[in-house]
Amino acid sequence: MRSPDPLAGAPGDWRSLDARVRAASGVPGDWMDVLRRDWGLGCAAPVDAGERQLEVRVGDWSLAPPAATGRQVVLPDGVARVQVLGDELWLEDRLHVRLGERRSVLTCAPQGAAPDLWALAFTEAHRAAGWVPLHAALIAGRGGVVAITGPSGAGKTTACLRLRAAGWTVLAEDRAWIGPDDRAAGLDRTLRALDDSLARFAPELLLDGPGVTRDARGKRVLPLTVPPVSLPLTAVLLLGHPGPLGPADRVREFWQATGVPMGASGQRAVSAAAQRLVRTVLWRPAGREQLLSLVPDLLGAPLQE
Amino acid sequence: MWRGNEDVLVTDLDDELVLMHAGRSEMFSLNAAGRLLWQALPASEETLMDLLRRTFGLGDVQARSDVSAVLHELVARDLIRKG
Repeated sequence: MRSPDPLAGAPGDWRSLDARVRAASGVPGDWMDVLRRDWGLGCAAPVDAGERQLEVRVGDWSLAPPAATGRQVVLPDGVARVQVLGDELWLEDRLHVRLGERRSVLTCAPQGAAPDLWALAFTEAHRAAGWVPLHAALIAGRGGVVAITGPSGAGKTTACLRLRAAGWTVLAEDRAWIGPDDRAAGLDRTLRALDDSLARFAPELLLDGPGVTRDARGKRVLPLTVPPVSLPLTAVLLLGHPGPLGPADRVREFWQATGVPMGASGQRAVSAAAQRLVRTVLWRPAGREQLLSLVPDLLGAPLQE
Repeated sequence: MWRGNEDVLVTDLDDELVLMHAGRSEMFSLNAAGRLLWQALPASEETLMDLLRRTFGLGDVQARSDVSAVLHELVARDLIRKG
């Protein structure tokens, strides 16, 4: 007879996409609070002992062996030096990540790690299980989810505001994830918009008062409440793309939107996703003004009418 | 013997192939003939030439020229290695 899993449903466990995240003993609670804020999925599904695990530890690890490949990874706050050997990653001298499809272990040095490095570690852990991050907004309706992607400044946030005002559900502003079963999930907890966009498309959100925060670019940071829905990705709309989109163009746009995994498992899994998603999902260029008619065509009706 | 770089992620589109060099984040597309050659790796240059001759009915000179051109492009992008 097997002993019960002492970790199953342990207090303090939380979910990130389909994984249970747990802290090993000694991990500071404030680290986990920050990670949960950035990586916790807002849905309240029960923790299942059989599901995928991400374990956060604090401690030391062996240096990367000479066979590891060194890379410079560009992050929002600078460049990180990363060493990779198969499914083992060394992120600066701060994080060591051992990746697996069912279980990844993220070990942090006692002095902690910057949010960008944690983001890299969580992203690689999710990729190893077949999740694909997309730099895209996600809009949900009864017929599924559309991703809206494009270069920064192409109009993703404005699209979110306009579609939200028209009754559609925003699942993500730019942190979109597509699961191994092609279901879409968003990890944004905020929406960042300039005041003039809000004035045009969501004036009710322009109220000033205590608690109003702005990011470094002066954009207003608004809370984004994501309903616990699980719907398939049906289309990817590319803002600012001149079109047309042949098969190879779709592959290029896929890699452009997701970036290249570093771990071996993630590379295999995301390559398989590329192969699948460029065939099963509609990819098409879209102008900003087309979105209000395209989304109803693709998704039918809003989730709540 | 030519081998594909293990750091290359491949998307097969049936009549073409898209190669992503993971270390460089660079993409390269191969047409049907290039896809055929890639899928035959690891292989010698002679084997690849023979493959083009048999598949497309090419003469020796044309097959050698085509294989050489594809290998040159792939080497320049670090997508294949010899050894």
